[in-house]
Amino acid sequence: MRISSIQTFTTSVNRIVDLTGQVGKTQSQISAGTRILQPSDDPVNAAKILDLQRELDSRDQYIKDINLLENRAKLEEATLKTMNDTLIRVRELTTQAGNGALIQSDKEAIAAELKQRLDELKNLMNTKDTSGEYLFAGYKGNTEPFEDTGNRNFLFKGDEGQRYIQISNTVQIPASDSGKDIFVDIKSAQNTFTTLASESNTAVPPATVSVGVVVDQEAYDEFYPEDIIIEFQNPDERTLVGLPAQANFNIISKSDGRVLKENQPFISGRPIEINGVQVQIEGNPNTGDTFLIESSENQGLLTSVSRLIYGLETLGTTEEDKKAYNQLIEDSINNLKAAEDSILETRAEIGARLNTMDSTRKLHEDLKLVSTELLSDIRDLDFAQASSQLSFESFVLQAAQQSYVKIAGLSLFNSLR
Amino acid sequence: MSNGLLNIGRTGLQVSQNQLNTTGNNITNANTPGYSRQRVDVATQDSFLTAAGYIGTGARAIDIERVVNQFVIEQVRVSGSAYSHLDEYSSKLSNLDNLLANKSSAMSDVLNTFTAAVATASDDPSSLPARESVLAQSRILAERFNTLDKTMSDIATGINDELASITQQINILSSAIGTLNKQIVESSGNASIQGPNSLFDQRDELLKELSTLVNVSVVNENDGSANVFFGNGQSLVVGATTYEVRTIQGKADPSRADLVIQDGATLKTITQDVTGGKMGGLLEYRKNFLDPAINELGRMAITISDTMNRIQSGGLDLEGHYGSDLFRDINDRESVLSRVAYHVENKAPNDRIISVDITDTSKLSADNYEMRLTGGAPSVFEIIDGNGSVVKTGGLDGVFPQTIEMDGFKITLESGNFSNGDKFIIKPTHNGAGNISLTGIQADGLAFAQPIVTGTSSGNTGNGSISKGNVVSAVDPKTGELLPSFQKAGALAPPLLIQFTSETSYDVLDNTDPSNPISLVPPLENLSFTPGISNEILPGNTGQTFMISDGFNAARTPMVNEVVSGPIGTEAPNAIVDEVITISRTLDNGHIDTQKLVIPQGQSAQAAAALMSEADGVSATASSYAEFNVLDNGVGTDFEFYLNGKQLTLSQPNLLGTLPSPMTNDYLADAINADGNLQAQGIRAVSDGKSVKVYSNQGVDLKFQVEGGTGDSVEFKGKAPASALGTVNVNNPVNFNAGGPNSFNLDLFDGPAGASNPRTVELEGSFSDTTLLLEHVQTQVDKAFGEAGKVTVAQNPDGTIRFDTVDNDMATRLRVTGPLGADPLGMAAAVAQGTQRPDDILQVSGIGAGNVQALSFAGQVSVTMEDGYSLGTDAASRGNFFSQSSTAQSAFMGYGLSISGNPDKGDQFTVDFNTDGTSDNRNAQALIQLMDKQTVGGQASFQQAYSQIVEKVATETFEAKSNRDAAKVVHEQAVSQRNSISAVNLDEEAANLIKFEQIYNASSQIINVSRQTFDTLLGIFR
Repeated sequence: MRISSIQTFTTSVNRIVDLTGQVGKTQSQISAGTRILQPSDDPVNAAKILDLQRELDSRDQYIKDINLLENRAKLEEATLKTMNDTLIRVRELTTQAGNGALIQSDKEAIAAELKQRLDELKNLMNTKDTSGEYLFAGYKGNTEPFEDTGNRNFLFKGDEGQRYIQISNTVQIPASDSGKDIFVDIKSAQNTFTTLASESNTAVPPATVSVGVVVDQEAYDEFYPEDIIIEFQNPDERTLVGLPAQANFNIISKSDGRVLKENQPFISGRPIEINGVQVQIEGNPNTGDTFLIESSENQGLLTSVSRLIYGLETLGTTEEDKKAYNQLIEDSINNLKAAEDSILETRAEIGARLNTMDSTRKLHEDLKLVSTELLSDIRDLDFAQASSQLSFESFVLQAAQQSYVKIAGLSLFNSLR
Repeated sequence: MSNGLLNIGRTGLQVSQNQLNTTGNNITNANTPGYSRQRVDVATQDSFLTAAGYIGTGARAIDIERVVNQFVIEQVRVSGSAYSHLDEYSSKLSNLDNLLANKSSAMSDVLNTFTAAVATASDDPSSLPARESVLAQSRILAERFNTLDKTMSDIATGINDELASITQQINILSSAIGTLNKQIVESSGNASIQGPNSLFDQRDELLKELSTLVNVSVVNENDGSANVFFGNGQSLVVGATTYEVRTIQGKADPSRADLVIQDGATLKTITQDVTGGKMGGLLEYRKNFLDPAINELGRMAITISDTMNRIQSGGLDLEGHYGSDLFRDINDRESVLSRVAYHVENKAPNDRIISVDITDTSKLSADNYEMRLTGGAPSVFEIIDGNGSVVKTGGLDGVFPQTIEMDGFKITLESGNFSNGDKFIIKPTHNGAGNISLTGIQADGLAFAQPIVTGTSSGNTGNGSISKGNVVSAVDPKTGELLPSFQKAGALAPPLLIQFTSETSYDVLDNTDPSNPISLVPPLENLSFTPGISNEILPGNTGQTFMISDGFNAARTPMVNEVVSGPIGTEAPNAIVDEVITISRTLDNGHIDTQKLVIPQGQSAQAAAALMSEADGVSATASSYAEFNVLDNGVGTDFEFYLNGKQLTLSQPNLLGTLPSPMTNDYLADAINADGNLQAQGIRAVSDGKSVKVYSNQGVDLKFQVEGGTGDSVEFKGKAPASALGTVNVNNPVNFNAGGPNSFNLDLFDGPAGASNPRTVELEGSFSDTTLLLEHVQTQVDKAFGEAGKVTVAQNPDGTIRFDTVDNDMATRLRVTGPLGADPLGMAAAVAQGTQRPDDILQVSGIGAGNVQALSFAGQVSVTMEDGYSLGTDAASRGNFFSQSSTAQSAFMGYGLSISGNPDKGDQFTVDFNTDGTSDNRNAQALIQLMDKQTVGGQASFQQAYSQIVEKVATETFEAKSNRDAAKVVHEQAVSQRNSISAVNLDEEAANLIKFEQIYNASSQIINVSRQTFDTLLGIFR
């Protein structure tokens, strides 16, 4: 084939340019440490790299979340453990209170310590976490969950919200427990009740209702599970039946609205006995104010202790009262035991959660390792191979350059003298 | 003879001089671009005849020709065109590839850090710094989209400029070619042969340059001129005439320049036809990659804005307000108008306004669409997608606004003159990435909480537990409006009470007033529950609608004239008449499928519901209700009372204690609840002492019979008859002072146990104005009761005066007694009417032993219809279950709940507004989960969608680069072949120099011999 002079030059130059390009690319790969400088170098793996990096990022985030969650769970665990210790003392006191030889002043001394312990328990239930949220308030993290509405009748102001945190693509675990589940909804030894003043009551200051006590379990069991409403009536209504005007209330069955007792006279603080339960209302309720006695199979921890204190302070020496007192001590011991169980159950749950966190973190770390290796396989450069390639390419380039010089020097004109 | 030799020597000299000149020319032009080596064609001179035969006369140069191969030249052009096309295309793609993958411009990192910020905030949802970080990441996310969009729009603008510059180069080249054509044609007529060789070379070189800009085809004419065509056969150069190519503002899209060629007065658009060369590369890149990538990114941005805003709007911020938009509304006015480009050739006046709303991001494609009005009356439109296929056609009805829904968006023709031939480009996603931006939302405005919180009543005796609830969608998927549940600030509308009426049934009630839960609209009552497993409590979002037959005070409820009398056992028929129910369903093709159901006269709601449930797409349940108050005087004939054949007034000492006399509501309610037969019919009763409410969750007819003597009666709540109290005309002047004191008694029977409790109303003064009179009576009535509004005074349409009580339960009574003194109001007439009851009370009185008065109540039917079904009824004056005004309502509340376990009768669960739910992170979790959902086009998560764009561009870049490398080789080979044929080899020329020099020397020698021969000849004569 005929070769023109210009071909000799351009062919060699093109080759040298190509080779320089190759050397440059290998050099860039070595300096960047990666095989893929831009996605088009390896489109399939480039997309895989994006996926792997995202996976690694999300695993890092999950591990971070797990660590935060772990701290919170440990705080909750520690709080519950302290409560357990306090409860053991409360149970001792209850057992003491069961001693038949006690006189009223002994009972009052026990009641005094119980009040201390009650306070302690309440404060523990209102524990805040490091960011200032109440641990046991459900979603209402800025609302104190356990509030004394007066007369040591505690109301749960939080809600049943439970925060969940995603700790892997598939696993969500609770980050909190509602105080209602742990401390309020505890199965009671007997049919029991809670008392509550209606939020729409208008008296100022609001009249309060005590936690009350079951004085006749048989009578109450018969009535159970009806709820009772105590509704205050116009004082004048008593004049209609020929009595002097006086604060008075109706006792109403909640489910159907039947009036069980009408226009009962009211004296602040005097025990009101209805179907085997006894409560006290203190203050000056307005006409239309209502108080609810709600039947329940559950009795909250604070209510149990509070009820015990109520019994220690109010139940006297009559035969009925003694019977009710003994029943109360027996029930209290059982209910406190149930409360301890509930706390233990929650602690066990937290323990299980901590295990899940541990194993999930381990899983993340293992899978991170796998992904990192895979990523490295796909993306990272084999330096040994690359540097030998670089020296080979430089060698070829050098050869091309030298041969070019040789060929360029060849010309017939050199021989024409 | 020697003259001949001299001549031969001379021709040798001439020829070799020519050859030496040509060789010299070749050597000096060895590096001239486009130069083709030349060669002297030599031939022998004509011989002449001698006696010895023909004797030659030397040589002559007949032509100096270029050594070229036209086919190879053509090859160089074609391969050059292909190579520069691919070179331009791949280098542009490579830029885009780098842009999308570069860490500082890519989306993937930003999406990761955004997710991480939300996850951190979700760990501590009330932390403001964590929320600020989410906002900052959202801003970066939006700005990243903007940057990418800006960069790509700049590239598009850059392409416009590049196209303009290429057209200039084309014009320069084509006019140079035209000029050369002219010179070549002119010089071909000339004797000089050398001229055209260099002109041909120049022209070939220009054509080669031209073909790197755009693919051209060259046709050589006999006169030596070359005609140049490109695109779809458009002439660029014909002979000496050239046609100018220009860019103009894009016709379909002003931001994308179009190519036109000027042919006389007309401009022809050739953007679609041009291929090859740099220009082809640019156009292909713009059409196949740049615009689709911009659209893909836009679709991602729109989907992110939309889905995140939706989650925001269904959540609560730190202050307990419903979340406001995080990103700019995708359908704000500016955005909806910017999604349409109007073709510049549309008919004047250009007053058309079209808007495009995105309705469903999961159905959105990244295509641009073209809408054409293709003619006909009424005008027909067709919509063409990115692949060029017609995806929708229809007619313009000329009434504005007209909407066209398709592929996740809605085109609205708002106003203007639409004419046949108009064209519009619909670009739903094109501006998405440029338009996304953060709203002015503050950190505490991020909605991390959900609006609902569920609760379990502490009084529950069963072990049922309710889920935390999950907001599915805050907006109605069909209308895009907020669902009623979430329309009220700071409250759920309404909060719910889920009340178990038995272990297997529950009601969902409106708990706005917790002391008095009421039915929902539409009602959700007597629903069935399967104990032990998880039950979905609320209707899901399946497009189902819910319709309930008319409420209690409706046509089917008995009126007083429908009470029948007869011996014991007499039953009254219910008020139901024949009813034809039509269930229609609109099919996809527009056809309406109907089913007709005939409910016969006297049918119970239970049977009607069973009949309707047999129809396709419909399920129905029935319930019934009645309310009564017994008024037994306890004397004379025994009072007896029957419900559905069961005598309730029997002594049941074991169960209910002794039979009371007079009979009480409480006893009757207990008797109903204690009866097994009635229980089997789903009947239960509730008494509050004042009245008994009777329910059946199976919808059986409730048939009552009353037996008793005078003074025994039962009042039923029924349909109100027309009635009036009093007959006094108060328009006349009234003077209470004359014959006074003037007073009367009002008795509300509100003493203990419903005892009489009359108040005296004292009236005075003189009135000629009715309004003032009524005011006076009202004032005095209020005074008598000691509180305002207990009894209201009003005037009936017939002019009579009317007293009403606010309470309107069964036990309410009002009686007027007196009057004392003169009676200007005519109260005596009112006294004669006796005790007044609320209007809708039917009094069924005893008519003596052995006979009964009977009446019966039909229930109501609740119908649930699948998506697309509707229900209609025939006209009837009275007795239909449904009235023609009944409408189906969506029962979808926007959230779901489940209850599992074994709840007991009376157990309650609540759903409330999540007040102060600052620690709730459910909505933040929903945001995190959104990142993994298949949202983009309903097929890919955000990350996947982005990876797909990157992968697509990368793959194409890879392919384009390989193709370019191949084209480069082909081109180099073609060039090499051309060089092999036409380029100068200096060694060859050097050899030629020596060769021609030797011939020249030899030819000189011939002349020398000729001269010597001649000298020898002359020497003879010396």
